[in-house]
Amino acid sequence: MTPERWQRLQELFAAAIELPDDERAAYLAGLAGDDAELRDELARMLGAHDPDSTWPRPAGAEAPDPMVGVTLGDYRLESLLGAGGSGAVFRARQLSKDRAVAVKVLRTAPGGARTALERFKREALAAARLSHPNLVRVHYFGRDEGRDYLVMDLVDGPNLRDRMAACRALGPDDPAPPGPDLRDPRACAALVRDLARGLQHAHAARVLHRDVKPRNVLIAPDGAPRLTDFGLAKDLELADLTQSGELSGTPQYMSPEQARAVRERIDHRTDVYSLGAVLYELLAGRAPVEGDTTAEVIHNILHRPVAPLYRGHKYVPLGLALVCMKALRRDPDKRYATMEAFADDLDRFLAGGSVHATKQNLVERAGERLVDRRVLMKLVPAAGVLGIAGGLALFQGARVVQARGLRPRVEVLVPGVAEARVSLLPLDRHHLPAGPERELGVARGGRLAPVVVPEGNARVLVRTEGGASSEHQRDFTPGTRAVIEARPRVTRDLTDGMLSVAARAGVRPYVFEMRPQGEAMERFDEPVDVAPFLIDAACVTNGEFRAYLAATGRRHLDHWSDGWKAVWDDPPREDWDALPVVDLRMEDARAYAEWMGKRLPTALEWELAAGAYDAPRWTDEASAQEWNARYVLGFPALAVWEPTGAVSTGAAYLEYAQTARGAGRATAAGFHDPFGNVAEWTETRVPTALPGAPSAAHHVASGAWHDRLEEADRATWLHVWRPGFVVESPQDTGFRCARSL
Amino acid sequence: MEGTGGGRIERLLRAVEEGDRAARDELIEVLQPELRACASRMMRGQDRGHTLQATALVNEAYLKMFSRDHPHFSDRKHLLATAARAMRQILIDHARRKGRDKRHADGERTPLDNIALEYEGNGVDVLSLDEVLRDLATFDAEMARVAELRVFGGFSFEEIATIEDLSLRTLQRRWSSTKAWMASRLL
Repeated sequence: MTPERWQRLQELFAAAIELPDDERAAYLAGLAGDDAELRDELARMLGAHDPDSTWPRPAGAEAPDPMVGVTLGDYRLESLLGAGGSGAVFRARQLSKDRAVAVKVLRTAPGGARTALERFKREALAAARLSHPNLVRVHYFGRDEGRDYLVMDLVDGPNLRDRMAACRALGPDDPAPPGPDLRDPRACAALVRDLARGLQHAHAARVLHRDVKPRNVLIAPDGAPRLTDFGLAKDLELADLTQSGELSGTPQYMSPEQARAVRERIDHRTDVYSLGAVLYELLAGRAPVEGDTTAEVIHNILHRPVAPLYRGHKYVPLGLALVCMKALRRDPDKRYATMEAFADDLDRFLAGGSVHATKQNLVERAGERLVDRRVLMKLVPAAGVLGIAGGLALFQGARVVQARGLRPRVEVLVPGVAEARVSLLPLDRHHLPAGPERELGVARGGRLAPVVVPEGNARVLVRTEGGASSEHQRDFTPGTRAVIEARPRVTRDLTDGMLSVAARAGVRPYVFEMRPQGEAMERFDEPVDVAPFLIDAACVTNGEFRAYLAATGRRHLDHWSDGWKAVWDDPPREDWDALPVVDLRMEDARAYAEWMGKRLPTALEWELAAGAYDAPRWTDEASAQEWNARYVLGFPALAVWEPTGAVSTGAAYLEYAQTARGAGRATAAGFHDPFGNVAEWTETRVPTALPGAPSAAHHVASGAWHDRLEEADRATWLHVWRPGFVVESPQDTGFRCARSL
Repeated sequence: MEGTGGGRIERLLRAVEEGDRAARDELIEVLQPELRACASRMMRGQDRGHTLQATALVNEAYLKMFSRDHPHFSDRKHLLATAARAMRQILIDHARRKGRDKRHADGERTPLDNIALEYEGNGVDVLSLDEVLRDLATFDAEMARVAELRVFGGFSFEEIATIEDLSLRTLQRRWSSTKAWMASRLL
């Protein structure tokens, strides 16, 4: 279509939709003078015209802004403030009194409408009875225009979640915006004390909140916190409206008994826990329990002890930490018995007195590690009979069993080798030794039966009598059952095509981090010493990988698409076998390396070998541009950023990839493509606990076609980091191997 | 929202252009709520999972936007438009990968899968949509940008009118015909 035709089409369309439906056909017919093609196009557009649909955005994605301007009863909705679980909240004007209020309109959800309405009404009933400066007052519950709505005080301020983010963005010396300065633990304590007083009032009126969380706390212009959204509130006077087993509440702030959905055990101490969780996050900067999925969060609430505040959080005063941890005890009986007791202890802390909360003793902590003390007592009735001492012994015995069940194990297979020693070297985040090497055992007859290993990042080392060895990097997490297949080799048999990199002291490793909130952080770590190693001069090629597949009885990797398999079987390029192999998962790259008797390089090793820590750097713009042009980065596939002409990664590979050992693209030491031809997997993990990200997020070194080297004089010039979760098996990422010396 | 007004962002953008690393960190912090809002507007769905989906999308958008180490965003509007583009690209890449990678067919769903499903639930195939948008861009680049902001960025018409410097009325009239044209191609 030409822009002119499109212009004309738009005009005709605008005129046509002004007409009533039954006149449109006549209008179309009347366009006889115009060409038929245009008329058909217009007819199709009119056929597809649906002014009310939100298409093509996802269903339910539309902000309910059609409600703005609507009057419900005495209230005119003025603007959308936000949307929550049960409905949208608007700033509104009460016409008879000419005052600003907040109106929450129940979202009409098909299917779930009844439950939602019951819940909504319950909120109204429960909250309307409450009047406290730290609770958002509910004034009215009504129905108009087929909509159920709730009228509340308008709190003109951010919620606590946003306030936390704003305070976190401040430097230590920046002045705080008006309101509580959440960098100050005392301000946090005072804020939580106020909320506790509000909840104390609610509990006295026999109303539980059950969904206490930062988002439900609004900060009024005078700085006072006010709790809102009694959407899950349980009125103890009323019969329970929800079906038992239904999960309600936001997982991170949910109490263990709530997570277990054992209805009869939910009482006011549930709110004590959730408010404790809010305090914890205020002080620690993260929720006491985290996880990638709702299921994981719930699992962690039930099974993982909250990391004590007084361990890693030096700036939290001990008294306040003790108060917080007491509110967060797994066993409701061990928490503050009432909201009032919680608030009183916070007052004691604020007044400079000593708090009533104490550290948990060992038995209590053991209890927290276990499923639940009461569950245990049910399972082991003898504990009650044996008395405290006997019960305790059983208790601790059970803890050991439990711990064994979770500890990671490794099994080592060494096919065709009669005897090999297996040991373990703990590693730090840079994959540098973090402790002494320890023996795991001897593999006889080609196998070492599963042995328990400590948690954490480590290298398993396999050595034979004849001086052959192999290395296997693994991150041992609880529950890991690793099976390693080792093919020990003698180092001198592997040096072909590998560069030797000398030991280097005082290197400050570059670190890229993704914080849980998603911020990307870059920094340089403390100086470290790096041991000598070998690294492939170039990436593993298609030809080499093909040979490996054949040797392991395969033609393709299972996950390859039919299209990629076809390309692999009948390559469109002459130099195919010399191109770096791509479309591998990190595990595939590692498996190849270990098959070869090598391992993947760490990010630090890769950078050292590529010369990233050498001086002088590429400091002038001109040479940066030259390298930019010569070393692939910044090819026209940059068009993936443009609205037109996106180039797929696979297509870009076919177009732009260069042979792995191409001339003129190596460092003086012979390291090929330091700026990337394809990007490369490394063993180093991205230090992050990003919600939603799978655990296998590995650093990717260098760059590929769509990446661009913008500034050569930056310390980060060599890095285009892409944690592996973006694409599990990217078509712009290959790898090379390394081996310790 | 306090402290995230255009002035502060534009000041930070200038500092970032001049290579100020601290400003970049600050910018990311400041933009976090905007991008999150952008992502969650895209999928203001019913279930709880959508928070995680929005987070995943924002994180990936960051990676796309900042992986080049030196973003040139002339102003906040440009940056938000870039965010919408990054999100589009992420969904497209994801859809391509899905098409190619049948392993996921019966495996667990990733947050991106869920986002894609929400689009599909509304009769939209992300890849076809992308093609139609590219087609549109050949004769009406402005409305192609609007469509991108609307569909992938989740911006309101008020915001888009500001970003594209159009009157709200003009925008809505033109969007109406553009949407009908797109629908006639896709539905």
